Amino acid sequence: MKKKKFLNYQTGERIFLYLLLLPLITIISIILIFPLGYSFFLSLFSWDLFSMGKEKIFIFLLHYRNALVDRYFLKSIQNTLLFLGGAVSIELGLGFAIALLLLGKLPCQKVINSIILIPMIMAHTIVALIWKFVYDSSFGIFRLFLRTIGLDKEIGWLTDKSIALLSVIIVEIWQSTPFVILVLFAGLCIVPINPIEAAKIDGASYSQIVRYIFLPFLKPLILFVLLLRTIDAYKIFDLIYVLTRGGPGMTTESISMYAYKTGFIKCNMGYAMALSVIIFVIVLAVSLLYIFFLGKQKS
Amino acid sequence: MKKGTTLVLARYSLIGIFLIWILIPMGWVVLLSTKSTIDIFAFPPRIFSRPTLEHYIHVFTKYNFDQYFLNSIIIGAGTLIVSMVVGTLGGYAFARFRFSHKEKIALLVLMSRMVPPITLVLPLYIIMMKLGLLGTYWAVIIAHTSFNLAFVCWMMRAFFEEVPVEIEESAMIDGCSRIGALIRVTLPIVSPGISASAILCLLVSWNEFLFALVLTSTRTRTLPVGIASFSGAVSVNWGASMAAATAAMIPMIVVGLIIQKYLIRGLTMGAVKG
Repeated sequence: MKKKKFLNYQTGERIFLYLLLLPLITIISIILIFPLGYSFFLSLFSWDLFSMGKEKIFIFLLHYRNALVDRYFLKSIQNTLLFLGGAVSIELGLGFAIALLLLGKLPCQKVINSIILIPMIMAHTIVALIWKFVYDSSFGIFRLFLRTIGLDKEIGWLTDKSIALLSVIIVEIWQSTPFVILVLFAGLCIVPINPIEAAKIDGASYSQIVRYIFLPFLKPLILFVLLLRTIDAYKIFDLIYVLTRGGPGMTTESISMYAYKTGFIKCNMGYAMALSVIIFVIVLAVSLLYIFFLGKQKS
Repeated sequence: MKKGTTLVLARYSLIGIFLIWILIPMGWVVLLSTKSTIDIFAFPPRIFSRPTLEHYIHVFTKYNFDQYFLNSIIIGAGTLIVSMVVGTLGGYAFARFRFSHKEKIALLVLMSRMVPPITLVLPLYIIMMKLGLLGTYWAVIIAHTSFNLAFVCWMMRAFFEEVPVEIEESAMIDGCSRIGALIRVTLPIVSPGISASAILCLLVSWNEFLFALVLTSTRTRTLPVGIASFSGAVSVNWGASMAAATAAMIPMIVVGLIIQKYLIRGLTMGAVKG
């Protein structure tokens, strides 16, 4: 018997359907679609926050053209890509390694799982504040450690232009690797036993089992985690705001941070909105690419 | 069996190192938050010294932390109620009915989760300003709902799809109305899904920063924004900041540990179901 998926309903009951959906659609339209459209509309004008749009000058797509040649915007894109690449790749690698290590029996399993979960559930700003102390060049943990072993050296983790971005990446890794571990571990737990047993009988080594059984099986999961982490890293704002506010001389300024400063600090709202639209379009393109890729996987 | 033991030791050590790496920053801040300012900056570092609560008292009186907690709770509750009610109903509709352009609308709903906060916060600021809602709780509740709705809808749809239609139909044959069947029969079955969605919804709202930063006033400021205010000035009150960080951290950790099961289920469900 074919499993029935949908309820039968008469015409009168279509009203019920609409009643269910109407709040959802209405709210999403108002809260999401309208602001996006409004933002795009406003990005076609040159205006600032003080005049509150009363002195708007229609300049069509000029903001977008300016964005393409804006040195600072391009620098923020570079920072974001570096951040993204560094953080996501290490999170995936480290996360997968730890997930593998956790496979099997462990003493105090529950305690270990609980500890690993903690960084993930904390607010970004709290994590950032904690690490701001850790990184403090005078009294932070590293400095204390160095002093105790006799080296009286100050490292400006967040104030040195050459390593500030790296320091921020480390904090992101600290916070987000647990998520990767969680998802990949769950995936590893449901890998079917039979292929593994068969491989062991055939004399396969551990690394071979990992390469030829675990990895292919986990591929969709890895792609999923990759997409999620990439989008989240792309949107990064909270961590940077608290840690460096954009960093020593724009070295840690992400695209969201740059758009934020343009709009709320430099008060150039029209341009800020254009930037935010560009940011949105990019992430939309990447997500659609992923969905397309995933669709091809399934067939 | 020497090789076996070495491997086991190696495995435990590596996991141990990772766990220490996670615990040290938090533990250090918690420890220092209980020390008087002199002890915080003492060298060689004094691990055991007279504990003091002065920083915590400071934080809750002079820095208004209790207000921030309250605001986060109010906004979280508001977001939770709206998102869960509207999202669950919507999820049910997607699960149970066939209608034109269904998948297109579903995709639209999903995309709301992909919008970068910065893209939404700029127009929302202007809209709220024009509506006179800037600095009110509703402004932030609306903002948080905008991206939570899609998520709740998506998750509840998946849970509803697992419930066989026959159960509702037999309830209706027994005299239940359509809504009655939904409330009395289906909802109890998907209650784990409701818990997982609700918890994740609340967590996202509680930790959210950008919208709260832009849309709140000093009166409605939430916890994450309050925490961020300790990061600005050059000469920071270390003791107070650490107490603030700990005070914000501990409830989250405690609650998080209690609801672990639901958290994990919620987070991995999206992944495993694809």
